[in-house]
Amino acid sequence: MLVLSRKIDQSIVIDGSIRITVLEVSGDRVKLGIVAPREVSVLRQELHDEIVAENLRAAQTVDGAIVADALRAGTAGVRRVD
Amino acid sequence: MIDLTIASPLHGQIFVFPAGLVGCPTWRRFRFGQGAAGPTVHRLRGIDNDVSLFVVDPFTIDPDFSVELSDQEAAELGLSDPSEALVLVTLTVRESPRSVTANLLGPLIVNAATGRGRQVVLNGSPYVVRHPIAA
Repeated sequence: MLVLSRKIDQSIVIDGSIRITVLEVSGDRVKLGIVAPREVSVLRQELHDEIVAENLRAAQTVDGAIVADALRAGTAGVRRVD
Repeated sequence: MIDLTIASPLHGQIFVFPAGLVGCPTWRRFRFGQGAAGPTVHRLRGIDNDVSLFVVDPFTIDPDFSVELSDQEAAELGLSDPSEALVLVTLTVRESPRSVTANLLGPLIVNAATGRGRQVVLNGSPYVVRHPIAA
């Protein structure tokens, strides 16, 4: 892991195309500005971790009958307008 | 009760997620198939591993569901028209209390013609990872 120190309005550039700027520091909160190409996914770590955890949990679901029953019950009132 | 099981014309097709799923880079190749008795549940079975995911069209859960792909994401999947996209969300059975939830925040988008897919994270959307379907 690389650790470096920056002041407000200073940036780091990653791989020539991603720029992260320190915009504001207030107590224990740091506000960052991120400029990155659209194909680069930028997510808060918590959100990323939530998706990963849910992918792993979804892979542990093995009983299709329970899933199908829930869908029948849970979507009984839902009608798609075509 | 009699189940009318309608096989999707896409069943049997191989879907390839070049980057894998989020946090699961080795989950790349799946065979798309029937998930359970009933018309709406499909299953993605890993070709190179024993991963298995139950998936459903999110519009059956929320008719107003919407996904906005960036131009880059659409280009990466080779999608030029929304009708070419197959949208799926994973289903999870949770215990105590038993419930089934759908991951509306991280849908899988597949180009139905080529089978190329990607999991997108709908950052900033109102959707959640554990959308309750039924208790």
